[in-house]
Order: sequence, then structure tokens, then C-alpha cells
Amino acid sequence: MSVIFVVLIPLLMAALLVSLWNVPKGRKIIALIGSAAHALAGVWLLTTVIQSGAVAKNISGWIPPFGIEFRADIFSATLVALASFIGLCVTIYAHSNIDDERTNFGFHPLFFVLLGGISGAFVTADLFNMFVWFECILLSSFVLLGLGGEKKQLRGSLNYVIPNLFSSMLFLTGLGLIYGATGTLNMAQLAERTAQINPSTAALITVVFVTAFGLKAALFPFFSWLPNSYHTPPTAVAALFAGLLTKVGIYAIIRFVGTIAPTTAAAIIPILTIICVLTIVIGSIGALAHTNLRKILGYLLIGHIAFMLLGLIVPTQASMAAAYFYMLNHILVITCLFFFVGIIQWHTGQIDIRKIGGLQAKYPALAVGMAIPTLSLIGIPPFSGFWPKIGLLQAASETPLFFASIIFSSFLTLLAMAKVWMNIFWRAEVTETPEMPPCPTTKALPAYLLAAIILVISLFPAPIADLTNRAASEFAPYFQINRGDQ
Amino acid sequence: MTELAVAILTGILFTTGVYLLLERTMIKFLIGLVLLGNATNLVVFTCSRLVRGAPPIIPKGEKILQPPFADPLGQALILTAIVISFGVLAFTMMLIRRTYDAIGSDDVEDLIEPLGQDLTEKESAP
Repeated sequence: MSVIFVVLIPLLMAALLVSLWNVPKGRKIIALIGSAAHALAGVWLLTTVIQSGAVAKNISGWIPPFGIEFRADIFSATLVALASFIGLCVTIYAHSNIDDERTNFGFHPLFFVLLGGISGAFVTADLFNMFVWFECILLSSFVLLGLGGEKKQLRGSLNYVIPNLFSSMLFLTGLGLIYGATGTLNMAQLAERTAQINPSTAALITVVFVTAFGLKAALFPFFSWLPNSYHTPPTAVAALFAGLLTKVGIYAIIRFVGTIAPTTAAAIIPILTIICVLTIVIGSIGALAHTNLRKILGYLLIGHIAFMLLGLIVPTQASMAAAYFYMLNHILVITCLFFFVGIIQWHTGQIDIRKIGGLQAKYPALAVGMAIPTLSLIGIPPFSGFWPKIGLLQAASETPLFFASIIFSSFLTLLAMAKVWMNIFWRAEVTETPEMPPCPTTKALPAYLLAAIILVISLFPAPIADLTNRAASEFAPYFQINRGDQ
Repeated sequence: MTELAVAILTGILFTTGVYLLLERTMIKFLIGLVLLGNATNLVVFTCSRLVRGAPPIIPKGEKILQPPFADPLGQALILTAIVISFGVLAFTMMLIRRTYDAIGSDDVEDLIEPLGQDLTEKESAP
């Protein structure tokens, strides 16, 4: 029963908010209540799954190969819970961040469709249904990105729309091919049948799917849309996108290769390794080239996204658990950093690190708060980014190239963030900034809340490590099939 | 035989579609998108097997469907995909129009801001 609520609540909220289109009062409060309900449903789903194993629900009572099945195991339930929590944080932040014009043009309904699409993509057990959720995400994110119609936003939107539409077409092509080859689209049934089809056909299908998902995850060489679009929308939208959207692509790759077509992994792992290494290196170098805070974060996001595929490249439970831990931590950290950048923008009106300075003296609390996600992003012990990174390095010792690129990326992340830090916090003020009213609580609350959660995870990583270990154990068949191939 | 013909047609549509996507003008990009969408739908259609004049109806007296029959699922998938692509296309068309109005060019090259220009534009929504 419970699994369907994480999808239903946001979609119903979207419908409700559309019906309140002409009622400006109370929309924000309703959105907040809806987000809180969604977060509760997410946490409830997670606790149910942790206590009593995977939950499944057949929509309208049609049994699986005929109807659409929703299924949440620990791997997807944790992501849903985290996504709904990030959704709640973004709703709070959006309260003061999204202007009236954007609210009037339907920010909240779009936001909930996006959240419903993300939750749906995480819990569906039907590949075509996943396509539909991807389209939900895609369309609402298109509009959210362009909402407001500023010149730079329109530019950013087209940069985002073009590659993502192409990726949808590839996804659909892959669906046609896999349906033709196996005669089913249910994930459990696909997992049984992909092993029996012609290996080269299976490899072709996997390549089509991984390319489609890789485009959404901003893997090399399809990453340039991300830094060219994520710096344009308001902070609330950018934080939501950065935290969750690329991870949906990563989730889809892991789900496809790890669950649906584990036998094809041997064919694509060598290519995937090279793609990941290039993504890591280029993303990290790109971060150094820019002075726009959001672009720096966008490139770092690309540089780190490929770590999360290590669980497929090195098929052991330990590496999958570490990569998954890294993914969960990264969602929190990058969303938190985008929030803090929004606060910096509020205080200074600038986003160029060359024009910002002296923030430490003026806003010491901001410096302390932002230090937590920053140190965690780099992976300085004992911050939360450090724990999964140890696991990643241990796992990657089997593939020296990947090992080297993790180290390389850590240093470049350190360098990029040190550059940011020395400019905006430690040096003296460079330009006269007009006196701004103090930062609204609705902006500060989610940022510091996330920072506090990151701090707690840093100090007590054991429960999360335990959880990720259990989530990774759900891919046991994948490890069994591929351990000999590495 | 029909399958071969449709496969060739799909290939042609894919080729022209991708070629147009790589063009610099946005209108050509839009047309490429239409062609690619059709090519994709044809792939799904062909992959669920081309069967002529055999609707999936269980004959009187029989318990299960006897092959050959046209697979309704593939067609249902295409129907969904067509509806989605219709919406996406309408949105993209409007977006291109708005972008053209805003930047006064339909050249994709003009979409990429010169390095650093993103910093000079006013941040209206921090």
C-alpha cells in the first residue's frame, strides 16, 4: 500500500495547486504542508522497507507482467526518502526565493510534478513507466528552468532541452528494442530474460540505455548542458536540479545494468570506466576555469557524479555500498552548497568570486555553516564525504585508473573550493556592497538544517554505512554474475 | 519483407533527424526532432512485430489467443509516446520562439554565452 503514496501525494498536490491557480493566498502554505506530507510518506516508506523488506504494489490490481508494478527496495526507498526531504527543504527555501510572478505562473504545481516524477522514477518496476516518469521530470524541469523568461534563462533552457530531448528519444528506442527482444517491460521479468537473448543484441540495448541515462546524468561527453543551464534559474530550482536530477540518471544506469541486464556488464564495463574517468577529470578541471560560483559547483557536480558508478565498475558489495553512500551524501552536500550560494547572493548581490570578499568578518555564521558542506564535498576527515571516499578508494584499488582519478579529483576539488574560500571569505571586501536586510529565515533554515544533518552524518556514519551496505546487498546477483569478469 | 522496408525507412529517418539536430539553426533542429520522434515510434512499432489483419481478439470457443496476432501493447506504448512527444514538441516550439524573440537569432552558437558574460548580467533572483 505504502509505496504508491510517495508518488500520489506530489501529483495530487500538483492537481490541487493547479485548481487554486487564481487564489493567490495560502498557496505557499499548502505547498509546504504537501511537501511535509511527502517527506513523511518517504520516511514511512523507508522505515517500512528497512523493517520488513521490499514493498510492492500492483496498480489497479493487475498482476505484474500485465500491469504496472511499483516496487521499493532499500536502494530506491532511501533515495525516495531523501528526495522528498530535499523537496521539503526546497519548498521552505522557495518561500522567499521564488517571486510572485513565478508563483503566479505555476511554480508550485510544476515543482510537485517534478517531485512526483522523481519519486516515480525511483519506485517503478516497469521500464516503460520509468520512461513516463522521466518525461514528467523533463517537462516540468523544462518549464521550471525557463519560468520567469529572463534572457539568460531562455539560453540556459535551450541548452538543457536539446540534449535531454535527444536522450528521451534514445530511451524510447531502447524500450522498443528491449521489448522486441524479450517481449516484456517488467523489470523482474526482464532480468530473467536478458540473459537468454543474443549477447550482442543485449549489449546493443545496454549501450542505447546507458547512453540515454548517461546524458541525463551528465557523463562525458554529454556534460556541457549542465554547467550551461544550472546557473540560470533561481536558487531553489537550481538546488533541486543539482541535488536530484542527475542522480535520477545515475539511479537509472545502476538499475538497468545492475538489475535488468547484469549479463551485459562485462561488455560495457571497460567503456564505462573510461567514460567515468574522463568525466571525473574534465569536470574537476572545468571547475577551476570558472569564477561563477554556480558554474564552479556545476562542474564539481559533473566531476563527482561518475564516482557513483563505481559500484557497477567494480562489482563487489563493498564498492556498491561506498558509491551509494557517496551518492546519498552528495545529494545533501550539493543542495546545501547551492542554498549557501543563494544566501551569499542575497547578501552581496554577486555571484562572481572575484567580486565577493570579506564575508567571514561580516557573516561569521555563514562561514561556519558553509564550511561543513564544503569540507564534506572535498572529503576532509572526519566530514561525511570522507567516509564513502575511503570505501571508494579501497574498491577502486582494482582499477588503478579509477583510483588515480579519485585522488586527482579530490585534489582539484580542494583547489577549486580553496580558491572560492580564499576569495569570498578570507580576503578583505573588494567592492562596496549595499546594506541588505538580514537573510530571511526561510532561506537560512534549510541551508543550516542540511549543514547540521551533514555534521551529524560526519560524526555518526555507522547507521548510514549499515543502510548502504544493505542496499548494496540487493544487487547480489549482479556481483555474482560479474565477479569473474573483472 | 515489410519489416525490412520499415527498418530502412527508420534508418533514413534517424539519419536525417540526427543530421538536422546537428545543424546550427533552431528551426532545423525542430524538424529533426519531429523526424527522430517518428523514427523512434517506428522502432517501437516494428519491434512489437508487424502483423497484418489479425486483431488480438480471442475467437469464440477458444480460451487463449492464437498467434499470429497484432501486439496491442506495442501500439499502446506508441500512443503514449506520441502524446508525450506532442506536448514536448509544442513546448519546444514555444521555447524556440521565445528565445528567438529574446536573443534575436536562431543560431545555436549564440546560445552559449561568452566566458564571463554570465557574470555581468544582473542576478535578478538570488
